[in-house]
Amino acid sequence: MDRNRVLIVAGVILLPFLGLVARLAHLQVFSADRYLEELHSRSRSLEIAVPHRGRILDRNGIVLAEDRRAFDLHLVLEEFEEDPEGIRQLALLLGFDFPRIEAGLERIYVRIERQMNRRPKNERMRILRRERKAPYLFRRDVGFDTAYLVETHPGRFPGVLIREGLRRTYPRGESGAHIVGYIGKIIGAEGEYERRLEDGYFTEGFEEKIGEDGTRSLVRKGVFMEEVTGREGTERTWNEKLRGKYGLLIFERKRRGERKMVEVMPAVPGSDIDLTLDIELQAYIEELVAPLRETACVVVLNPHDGEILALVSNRSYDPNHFVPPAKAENVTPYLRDRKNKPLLSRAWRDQFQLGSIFKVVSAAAALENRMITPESEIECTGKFKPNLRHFNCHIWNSYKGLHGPLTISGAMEVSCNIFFYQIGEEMGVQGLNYWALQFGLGAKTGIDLRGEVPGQLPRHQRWPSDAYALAIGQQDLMVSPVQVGVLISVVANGGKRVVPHVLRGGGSAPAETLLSPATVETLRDSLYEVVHGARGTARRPLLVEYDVAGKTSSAQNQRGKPAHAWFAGFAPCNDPLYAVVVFVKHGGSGGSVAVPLAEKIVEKLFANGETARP
Amino acid sequence: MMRNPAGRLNWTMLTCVFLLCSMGLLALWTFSTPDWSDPGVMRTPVVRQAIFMLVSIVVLGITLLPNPFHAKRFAWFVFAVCIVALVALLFFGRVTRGAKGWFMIGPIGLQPAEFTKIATVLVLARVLMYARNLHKWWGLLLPLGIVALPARLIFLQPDFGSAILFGPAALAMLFAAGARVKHLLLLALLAGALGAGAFQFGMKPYQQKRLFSFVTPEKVSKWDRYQQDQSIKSCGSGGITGRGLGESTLSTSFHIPDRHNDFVFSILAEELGFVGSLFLLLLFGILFYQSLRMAFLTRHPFARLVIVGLTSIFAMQFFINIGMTIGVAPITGLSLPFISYGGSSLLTSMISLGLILNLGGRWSPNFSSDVGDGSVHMNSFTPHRNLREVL
Repeated sequence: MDRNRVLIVAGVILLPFLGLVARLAHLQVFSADRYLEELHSRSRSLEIAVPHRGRILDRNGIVLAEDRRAFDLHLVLEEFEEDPEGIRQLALLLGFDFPRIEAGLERIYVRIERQMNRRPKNERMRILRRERKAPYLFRRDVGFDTAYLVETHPGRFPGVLIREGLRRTYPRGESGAHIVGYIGKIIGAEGEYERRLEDGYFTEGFEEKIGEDGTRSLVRKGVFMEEVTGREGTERTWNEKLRGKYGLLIFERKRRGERKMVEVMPAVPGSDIDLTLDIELQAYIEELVAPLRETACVVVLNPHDGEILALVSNRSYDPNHFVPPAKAENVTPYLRDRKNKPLLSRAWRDQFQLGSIFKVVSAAAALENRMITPESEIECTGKFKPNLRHFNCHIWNSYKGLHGPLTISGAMEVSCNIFFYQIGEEMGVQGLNYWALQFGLGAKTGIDLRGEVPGQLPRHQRWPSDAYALAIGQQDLMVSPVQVGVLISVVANGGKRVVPHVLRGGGSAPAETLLSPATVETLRDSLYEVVHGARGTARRPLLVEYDVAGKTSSAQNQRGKPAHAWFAGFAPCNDPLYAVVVFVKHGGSGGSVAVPLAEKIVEKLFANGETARP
Repeated sequence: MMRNPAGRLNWTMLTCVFLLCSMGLLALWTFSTPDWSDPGVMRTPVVRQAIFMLVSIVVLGITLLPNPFHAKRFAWFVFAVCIVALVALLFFGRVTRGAKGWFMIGPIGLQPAEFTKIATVLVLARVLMYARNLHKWWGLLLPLGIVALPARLIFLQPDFGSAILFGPAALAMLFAAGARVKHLLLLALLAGALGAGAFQFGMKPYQQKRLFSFVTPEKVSKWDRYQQDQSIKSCGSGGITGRGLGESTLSTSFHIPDRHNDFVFSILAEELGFVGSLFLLLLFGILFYQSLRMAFLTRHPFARLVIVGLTSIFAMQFFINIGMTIGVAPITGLSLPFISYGGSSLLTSMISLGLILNLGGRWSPNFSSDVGDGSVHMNSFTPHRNLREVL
């Protein structure tokens, strides 16, 4: 046995020490900064500051939507579940049944689970323990009474926290609801939450402050899952302006769960949105059409720039019902009402047969193509052609009568069909379509509200009779009330096609049309005759008084159903301030149903004309 | 008859061990500061470890008293008991962290593997001491058989970490006993081949993963590397002077599962920094150096072999544990002697230490004046004494 071999063993054992020292030096001396930095990023805890959503105001500054301070109920699961009576008490407090409470708790656990699943298995229990100590939003806007009860009985409701939050309110309720719209939870719509996360919708400006890791950790925590977004109307269209930017509170974690705030990035409140809407007028008209059993729409706009003053669609809804937390018993009636579809504004999201108002387009086509002059006469013979059974003047259908020779203004005044059949025969479907497009039919008007329908023009002409029918606004022609508003504005403002809009200062500039001033002048004169002429279909004392020009329409639609009643006009005739469209579905004759409504609206417009004057 | 053993004790080693134990307690203290008003305070690691430590120190004292030659006499018996315990463990053992490594006797858990290490070293030392054919290759068969049996049994538990300790210890002892280097190199190669075979066929997937996580980090999912990654970061964040006592266990720190057991070094490295780590390394270095110095100085082959064997087990545990904590060795679940939390480990470390001190203290030459006072143990042998008798 060689004693010196022990020395070799000693060497073998002691040499690796150098390796350990080298490695430790590498870690603790040369790379320490990197690890320390990572450590500090972990010691941060973040909270978001929810921005105040902008208000929505009408043209006179009346508030249509605003964020009100509200009380949100948060739960700290650990304390809450410690108390065996917790669920029962919470159920009593909120007036919920047990399953609903359980479902709410389930949602919180889902959020916690999302965080856990991103972490290594051996760290999950720790996350669970930590998150069970953190407050999670259980219910928004619990009401003052509930909040007061919880706050004045500390210890009575363990784990229940009341925090101040914001709740969207719509003070005018149903009034203008279609235009104002409503908000909803961002989560739920398929993939929208995820899409927005990827776009950095919530985390704008966060990266510079807390880096990608910090941002991602916030997202993982699901802090944005309770957030809201515009779902309809202005709330949706101008969501980006309204929502503002999230702020950040950065805390440093200290020993034993204490935190110290180290940095604040204040939330940027959203901007207010000024609408062109006159909510008093809107409410007045809504009241006016409320008794009607069928759908009715009214459009009041400024014919010069397309500002919408009132946009009524009969059967509206209360947007307050949709603000989270929405109650099913409030929302389902809207969804169940298949007949009225109150969520759908018919004024721009539905289309109808137009009828005689289209004669304005036909007349323009004939005048522009020099087929007729303002003075040329066409004879109404009652029946258009002997071999066509259905192409008669309405006076023939009612009285077997006839209008005799008519100029363009006379034909418009009595709404003679034969006159326009002649035009249709001459122009054909394509010729009429060409001018219909000039008046803004068959294409979206570009209104700044969601879901506008483009209407429909007949695509091609199979028989000559297609053109006859189109010339009086029948055939496959479909328009939305807002399009009719544009049509009548073209006549009112001297030939410009406006873009209707509800945002003050919004909408693009009116487009020039191919209409010559002379044509527009002739059209305006003939529409004047409709109200002022002795035989005018819209001759009513108040309309005459306020110098309205317009056109009625009774559009046949379904066999056996009353016609749609229309009136489209503007006032005063020579210097128009307002364009008004009234539509009553299956209302019957335009002259007897739509015109009286228009009369009341015009009366209202000029009664407080100065305030409504654009 | 009995001379005061304290006179020949290696006080340097004892001081080192005392300091190491203190650092261990310190680490546990910051890991879970006991709350004395809590009735469950006795279950906190630091209090339990302190109790273990007191018991272990008493045992250490007891180990120092008798003639260490008794160890040689009872070596086979102890070895047999350990083997029986290991076999029994396979049938009745309590499963802890996926391995059947524990006997529960009341509230105390016993880890036979820890005691088997000592017993195996003792038996091996005894066999090697009398071996006459170590320079022949067949002379290695018996010693290897003695090592392979407990190693295999421990491997079956499965406790991979403890099992591989036997290899280097046996190699060191064979080398010290005079086996040929050529044979030992062949043996190491063979062990390597066997190891590869064991890895392929004998290891559980989690063990394979743990090894892989060290060899080819990119092939293992992040979760399997997680513990070690966290540990490396934690050590690194200590910097030169450390983050201060208690800082490593804040909620802000890197979370390392089972930190007070196998990764206890990361606590110290984070809190005391490079300086503290160096100090700890230095203590271990002195410990090993002193121990091997005694092996060098002692005149008795049994003592030399036992000290070499036990020291190499310590050293292996130390290197593998620190290595895995700072990311230069695979995760094997080996504890850090004197520092990691655990009763059996501490107790056997102290017994090993006692054996080393006892053997080294009695069998080294000493020419100082206090020798030869007549209080000579029956088996004690010093050249000095013989010299006097001759004279």
